[in-house]
Amino acid sequence: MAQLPLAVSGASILVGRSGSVIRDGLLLASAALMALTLWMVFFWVPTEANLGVSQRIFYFHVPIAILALSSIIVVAVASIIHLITRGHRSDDLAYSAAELGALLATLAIVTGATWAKPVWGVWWTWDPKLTLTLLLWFIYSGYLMLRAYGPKGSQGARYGAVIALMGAVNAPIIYYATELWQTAHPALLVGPAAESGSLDSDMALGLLVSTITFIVLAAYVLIERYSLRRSETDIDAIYQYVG
Amino acid sequence: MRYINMLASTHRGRLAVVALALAALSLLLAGNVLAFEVTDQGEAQVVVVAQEQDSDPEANLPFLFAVYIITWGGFFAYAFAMSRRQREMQRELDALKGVIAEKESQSGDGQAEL
Repeated sequence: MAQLPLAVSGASILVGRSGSVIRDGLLLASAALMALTLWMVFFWVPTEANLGVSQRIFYFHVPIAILALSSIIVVAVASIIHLITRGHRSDDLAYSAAELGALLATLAIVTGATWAKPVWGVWWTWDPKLTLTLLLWFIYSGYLMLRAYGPKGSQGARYGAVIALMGAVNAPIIYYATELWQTAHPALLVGPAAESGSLDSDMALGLLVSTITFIVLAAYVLIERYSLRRSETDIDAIYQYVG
Repeated sequence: MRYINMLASTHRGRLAVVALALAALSLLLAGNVLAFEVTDQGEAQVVVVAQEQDSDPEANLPFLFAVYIITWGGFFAYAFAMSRRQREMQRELDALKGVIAEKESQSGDGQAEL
């Protein structure tokens, strides 16, 4: 009988003990940081004079939106690595990041709409930035649907890579949308195109802490999903081996 | 103590503890903000607080809480779903390993008989 594939026989089905320690560490760190973020958001940062309490949504909405944009870049880079190396692990990472990105894009749109209602008076408007973010959500959804119902194996990964690259092109356009078009969305406050000093220093610190918190939380979720995806890939390999 | 150990021994249990702790903390802090705003409104011009023109500063609190609940709900629902799928996969994998081991031992017996 043929030998069991190396990835499976090497007992790499689940991330080992050290992986578990890292995951638990990230989970605890994200919990501690989230406690700090909540304290800062509710007690420490000043309330914006015009928008009032609803402006505090900013400390959740902005980090989530940043991560939703970053995730599609991760998906695209991992997909390119997969196309070059044909390695399963990079494809597993791309799929995992796409699933996390879909969650983040959903949350970015929902939290944005919940912020828009008290400020703009409507849940949704076809503003360029909002519309492009919705397009990103469709790109994530299209990627996941293709991987679920489209061709399996490397062919599915190749098709997925094309969608991921479209998303990666869309990400910077979303970021610069407020510069490129007249939009109702507030101007850029973070990143390379933001004007320095456009954000109160205490608010900027609050945003920094909440962004770090969400990065740690997203890293934890990504590692968990990647570990699960590896298990799925390894089980597929065993099914092929068993016949 | 036994139950705490049981809870702490599983990944899902640890997740549940963290989720409960954060939910409790959120409620605690949310209650404080509500009280803080009411006091400021009553005592007039102690500034820093929301000063939305011609509107109640607390009017938007439900939107704020909705965002926090949606965000936490989304993350923890996803984490729990993954945790459950991970265990299911592990069970499936163990069963498959058993099948393979059985097959290999049967082929070994066959060779020995020859």
